Amino acid sequence: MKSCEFESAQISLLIDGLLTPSEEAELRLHLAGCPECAGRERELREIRMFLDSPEEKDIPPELHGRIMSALPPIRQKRVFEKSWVKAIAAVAACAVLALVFVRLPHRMNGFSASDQASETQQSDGDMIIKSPAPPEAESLLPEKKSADSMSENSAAGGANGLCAAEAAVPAYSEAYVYTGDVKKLNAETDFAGNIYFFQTETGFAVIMETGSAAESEFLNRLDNVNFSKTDKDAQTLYPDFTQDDSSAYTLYCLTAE
Amino acid sequence: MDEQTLVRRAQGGDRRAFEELVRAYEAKVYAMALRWTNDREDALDVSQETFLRVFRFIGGYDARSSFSTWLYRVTINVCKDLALRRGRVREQPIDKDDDESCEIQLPDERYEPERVFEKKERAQALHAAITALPEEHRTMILLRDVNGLSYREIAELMELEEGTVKSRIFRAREKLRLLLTAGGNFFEPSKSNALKGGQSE
Repeated sequence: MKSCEFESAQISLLIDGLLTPSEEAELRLHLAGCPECAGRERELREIRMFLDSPEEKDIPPELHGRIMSALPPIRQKRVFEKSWVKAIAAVAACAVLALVFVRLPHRMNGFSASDQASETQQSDGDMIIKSPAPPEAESLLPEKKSADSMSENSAAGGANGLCAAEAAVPAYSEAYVYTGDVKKLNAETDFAGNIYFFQTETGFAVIMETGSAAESEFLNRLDNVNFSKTDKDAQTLYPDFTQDDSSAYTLYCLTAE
Repeated sequence: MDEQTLVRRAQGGDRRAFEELVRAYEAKVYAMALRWTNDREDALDVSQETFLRVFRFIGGYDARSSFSTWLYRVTINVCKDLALRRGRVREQPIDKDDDESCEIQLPDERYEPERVFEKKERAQALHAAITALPEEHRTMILLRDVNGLSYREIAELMELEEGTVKSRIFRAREKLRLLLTAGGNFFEPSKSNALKGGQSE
């Protein structure tokens, strides 16, 4: 018996309205003479009708309420939402990222486990990663006690210079979300806007607000790096990281070559 | 207000704009989730989680693909995540689907072989058959027949060629037909008995 493979495929297109008039006419001619295919058409239409029937989709009245109430509250209090942070947040995002990418390769060369222990070793990349408030730094990261304007100026100046430069993406051998023991992470962190970054044993890590502009920028810069992501949130991975809405942060780790 | 404007505003933090988007799509998201999970409560969970993720990631949404495409992609991922968490995953390699005859659990027809299924049984049978499909095929069928996406939109969402989508939807439908026919009396009784029992050789 004929298998009607071609006609069967046409029937699928027919019920989706994708046949030309002449194709449809030809198919209908076939259907008139082939009970097998006629049955096939009827059954496919029945499946679709059932899938699409309004009673089956009976929308629960609580649907909208549940969706909206699951969203984060509009005004979120964050531990680190201080005025000096807000003042430089947007600028800092760009600046910090640029600095990270420009400076880190120098830092990473010759990086070894022993460097981590040594507080005194300073190379040009150190000021960003290790010291929260390096005195000599043309620091893009705000001193926690200093006035807003000073931070703003240096940040702005730094940002313009560095963002203008096309920061080359350094080579990284591995990019992943950290899943190991968080106590191994170097606890010295620094913060700018909505980014935390710190050294790990093998490279550096960045915690960023998921979906933030900083995160987009970060990912754009690294668009040739494939992150293998876990679904663990920053709070789980890094318990010292305190803020109110931990699940809205993502931790990215890169291992230097 | 057109959708792209709503999305832009939502990206800027406009909660009301986001709520408009929710209203526009919540029924479709729910319908898809219900078809996937076959459980009302699960479908509500999926809907909730989907819009939460959309809310969080909307900053990263880029307007090159359509918003609904992105939204449905998130919906599917949430459905899959839920199935994973519940341990209800049965991955099937896509190339094996053609001649794979899967058993589906259906009401016992020994005593009333000619009875057409009640609505609830039909729903069960259909869900079982849909679940028996490989995930990609299942996704496509639901996107097409529940969410009403065009082939082109489905192709974009699943990052496939349109021709591939066409042939996979065809194969998925064939398989559904065979499963439903072999498994019991999903279909309305036909005029001719010769039509029952699936394809003839």
